[in-house]
Amino acid sequence: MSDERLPGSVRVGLRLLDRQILDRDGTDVGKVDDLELDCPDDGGPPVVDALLCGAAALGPRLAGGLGRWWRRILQRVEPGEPEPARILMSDVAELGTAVRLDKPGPEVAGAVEKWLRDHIIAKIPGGRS
Amino acid sequence: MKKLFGITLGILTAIGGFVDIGDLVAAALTGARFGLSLAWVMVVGVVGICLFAEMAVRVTTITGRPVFDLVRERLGARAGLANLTASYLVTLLTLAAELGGVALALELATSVNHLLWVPIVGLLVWVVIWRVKFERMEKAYGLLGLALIVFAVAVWQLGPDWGALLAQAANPVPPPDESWPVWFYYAIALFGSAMTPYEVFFLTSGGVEEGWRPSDLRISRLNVFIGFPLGGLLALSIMVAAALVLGPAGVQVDHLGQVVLPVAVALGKLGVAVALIGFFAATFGAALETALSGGYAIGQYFGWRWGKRVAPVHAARFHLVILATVLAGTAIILTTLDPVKVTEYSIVLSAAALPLTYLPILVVANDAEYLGRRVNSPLTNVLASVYLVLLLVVSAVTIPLMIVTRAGQ
Repeated sequence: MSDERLPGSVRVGLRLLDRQILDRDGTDVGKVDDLELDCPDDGGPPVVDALLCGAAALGPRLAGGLGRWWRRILQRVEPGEPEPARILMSDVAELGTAVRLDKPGPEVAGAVEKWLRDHIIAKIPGGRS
Repeated sequence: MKKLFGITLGILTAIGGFVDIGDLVAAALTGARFGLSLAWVMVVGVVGICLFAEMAVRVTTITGRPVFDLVRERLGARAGLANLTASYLVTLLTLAAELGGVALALELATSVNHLLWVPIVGLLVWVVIWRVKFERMEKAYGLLGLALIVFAVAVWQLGPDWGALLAQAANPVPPPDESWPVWFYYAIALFGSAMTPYEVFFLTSGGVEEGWRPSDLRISRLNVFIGFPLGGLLALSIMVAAALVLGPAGVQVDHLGQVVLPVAVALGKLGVAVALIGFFAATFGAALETALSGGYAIGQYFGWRWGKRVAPVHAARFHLVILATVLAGTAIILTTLDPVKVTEYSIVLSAAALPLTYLPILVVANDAEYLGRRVNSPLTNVLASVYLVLLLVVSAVTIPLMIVTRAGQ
């Protein structure tokens, strides 16, 4: 987090986790479902590397039976090892009541949306306007 | 005139909250059975929803973040999901009841069995959400729902002894032939229906759909302070009308057809026609409100793109959730469950889930990061804390009371 527009230290539980992510144009990308932390070798405080976003990131946070059930469903929908969308901290423009990026949201984050749009919603009359 | 149109979102929201199918019946039922001894609950409910809805619209107008965003953010992924599940189920049950309610209103007008109307109503609700612009939808159903003012006119026409009515309202104890637990059960039902969480989901999401900005704070507050008291007043006049006509006649209200009787007595056929238009608009409006709220809550929990301000192709998951919700609601009511019973249960169950929605609103309304100098005043916080205790008590005693009284039998 070298960018001077972002705070040097932040209480991630309160200010970062579960916040809405908006892209450059203000379009909803997803939630900060989880974080990727990097622990420096010199023993300093952990640094937030990336925001993780999507069902694959949310599942593990729902501990217990609910979390297991979540992962099972996800396995059915998306076999293999589902990967959450990673948004690098360097792409974050502003941490406010929402997290604003300075570029479009990552492709992966919109994959399900895109599939449902192309296969269902766009085929119903009137869906395009 | 522009002002009047600026507050139709508040009016539609309040009509969905106060005079939807469950409230139409609950208000008439309690009026017929308990006189005005439960009128105070309406006042407590209106003050409560105004208090929390004002906080919610303040946060939304200033930050652009609707209520379920705050719920997820403050409760976290797990508790947020629990709230989502509970709120969604309650909203779905309410939607089912509203679809049944519209069908019942159509049955009263056409004498065609309501079950035949249900699939048509379900389809209409979906088409309106799919195609009609948000503002147009809100104006049409908000203003048409005002036809229910006919109940206030009916009360005035009946020329009651106002002093006696006031004395009844000022004496909050159950009538001699009713027990305290049953009386409290209905008090909770009325309170729960005034504070149902989908009202704040819908109002704040609607504010985002309308593009409220910080400069719109005044109009968004007017939506709250005019809309909800107006909804409460409509519900109260239905209660008074029932207390005047149905109570003395010994009518036990369990059908929409009985709710309209006081209007028939006071104003004749024309009055009944206006009341039926009001029933249709209020229940149809509430069906739109609940179906959209289901989509809003789920979309906002997961952070999807949501809303009617973009074409459906740009909010595919949101529209798919709404489509599935309307289908599920239609299916529930086609099982021939009694729509009125379905709402009664959904209202009481929602009373049990209230603190999960209102606590995050209160916390965020005190957060200067969100609101700067517009955080809650000390007076608002004192009042809100009192209500939060009340909400906790209500949510704790709801289910036991439901069991003890066998749902108010």
